[in-house]
Amino acid sequence: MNTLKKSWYLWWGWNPEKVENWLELMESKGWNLYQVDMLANRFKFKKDKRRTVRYCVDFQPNIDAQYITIFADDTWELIWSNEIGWYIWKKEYEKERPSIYTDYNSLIERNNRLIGMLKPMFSFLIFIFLFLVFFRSNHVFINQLFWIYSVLITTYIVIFFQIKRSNKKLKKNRIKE
Amino acid sequence: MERKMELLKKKYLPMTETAYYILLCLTKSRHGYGIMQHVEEITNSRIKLGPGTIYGTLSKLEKDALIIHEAEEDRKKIYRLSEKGRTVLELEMERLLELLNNGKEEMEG
Repeated sequence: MNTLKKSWYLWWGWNPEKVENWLELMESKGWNLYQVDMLANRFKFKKDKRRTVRYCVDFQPNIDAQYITIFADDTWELIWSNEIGWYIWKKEYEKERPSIYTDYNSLIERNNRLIGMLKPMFSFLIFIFLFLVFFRSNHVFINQLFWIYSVLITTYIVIFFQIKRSNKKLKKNRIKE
Repeated sequence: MERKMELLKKKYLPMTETAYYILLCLTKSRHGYGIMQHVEEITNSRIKLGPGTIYGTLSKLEKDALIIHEAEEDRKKIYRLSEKGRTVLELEMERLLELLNNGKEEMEG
């Protein structure tokens, strides 16, 4: 019987709930997560006990030591993080499903931090793009670059749009608070 | 000074339950996890604040100087309400009292 499993799962920064729920589902079937890699798109599981485990994704590009301390005090375990500022936290639970964020404002702020990181990169892309437009010629290499940059910029615009949409949804819910 | 208070009022009032309870807890010195425990206790487990929410809100409140970082214990920051924080909290309590009094009056009258 196969007791190890490697799965790819693609997810987007404005909708980490999807991957969180998927990991929880895997744990409930007895697939215990033991390794995360490839920018948190590949997950390795070991078949063992069925567990109820909450996974939460956070984005925090600038943190101080308090961040880890507060989470650890509340018995959250850090299972993966990277240099950009993505964190995946884990906590086993029995009845009430815990979350690292318990208000809409914090989720909106997480999205805003994401926009804050993307903005300078976007400006840089636009700058190079304008440069390419200006010097556009029949040169094959320049032309290829032009198209690559067009695709990149379009991707960025789609991402911004998605984050903004997610914020709009959260703001609608916030009225309840 | 006056202007600054107006800006704070605009930003924090009406207050979210999260901000209200965090400020309320900090009338005594507490660290992040201490706040989580105390809120759970005084609301009979109705409100359980997540660590991400606590961390973010504390950072924001500290930046706006509504709370001050008083000391450090086992690498945990201990916070306390500042004068400014107390003023904002009192304004919110006045507002809540008004809501409650008007509610009672209209419902009973």
